Amino acid sequence: MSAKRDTKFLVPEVDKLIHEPARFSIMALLSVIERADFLFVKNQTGLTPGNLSSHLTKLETAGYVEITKEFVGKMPKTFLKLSKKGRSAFDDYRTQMKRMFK
Amino acid sequence: MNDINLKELERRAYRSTFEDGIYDLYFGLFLLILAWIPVLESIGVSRFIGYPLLASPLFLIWAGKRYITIPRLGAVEFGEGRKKYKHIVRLVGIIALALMMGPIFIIAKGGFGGSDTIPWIMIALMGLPVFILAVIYANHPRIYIYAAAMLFCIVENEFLLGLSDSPFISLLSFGIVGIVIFIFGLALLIQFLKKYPKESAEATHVG
Repeated sequence: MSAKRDTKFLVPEVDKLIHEPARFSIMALLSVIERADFLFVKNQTGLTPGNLSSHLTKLETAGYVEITKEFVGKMPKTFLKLSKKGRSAFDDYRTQMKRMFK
Repeated sequence: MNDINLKELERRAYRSTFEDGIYDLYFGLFLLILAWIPVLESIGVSRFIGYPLLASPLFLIWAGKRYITIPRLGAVEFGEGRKKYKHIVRLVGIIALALMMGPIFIIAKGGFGGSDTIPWIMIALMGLPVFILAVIYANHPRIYIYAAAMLFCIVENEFLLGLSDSPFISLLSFGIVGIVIFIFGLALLIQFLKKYPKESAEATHVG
């Protein structure tokens, strides 16, 4: 038996936080832009405000997404940005998924 | 999951900012103003009033994005590549505008030997790189079509002016295309307003 295990098909290796479809959509969108407000992400992902909010809380807790609040005029706006940790985790996730399907 | 799909995702997100029809309205209005300038000149309005009017639809882009698009679609900042290109377009635009002051001064002083054809050609040649860069920056098939239509209108106008020097020629060459683009822009705007109704404050941010 080889000492080194072939982890190609080990699903537990994949980051489950990103693997969830809604969170994957959020991460994928944030990975291709600099930053966006809550409304833009909601419109692009098609999630409801409550649903998006709860997924963002999980991603923020993991340190994947940076959430900042700004006032544009008198309106409060929530801006979302992928953190360095989030970008690296998303890149790793993509690499792992590619490896699995190779 | 692969790079191509992420590129496609970025392009889709970018192109969603064109769904509002604001740029279509801008191009339509620009061509309509261009169509009316010779008519205004024929009734004694100076071209120094007519041509600066061409900059007025830029206000439409600013106001439209601020008061219509962002409150409905949301605000987004794209990556470094697009930002860098935007700065280049702005820089070239400012340089071109500064250089245009020379020919404008010559026209104001009566042109070369009474003719202002050469200074106007110089202005057009200075504006062309800015126009081309801005169209490439827009990176949208509709904008490419409008840019091609605009160039076609200029050629068509020159051809028709060879047949008749009536000021109404420009209404035919620029006006028709301008109206078509403007109406298309209005249709897109109506569709956009239906697709993205204005959201309540609670739906636009995390509480």
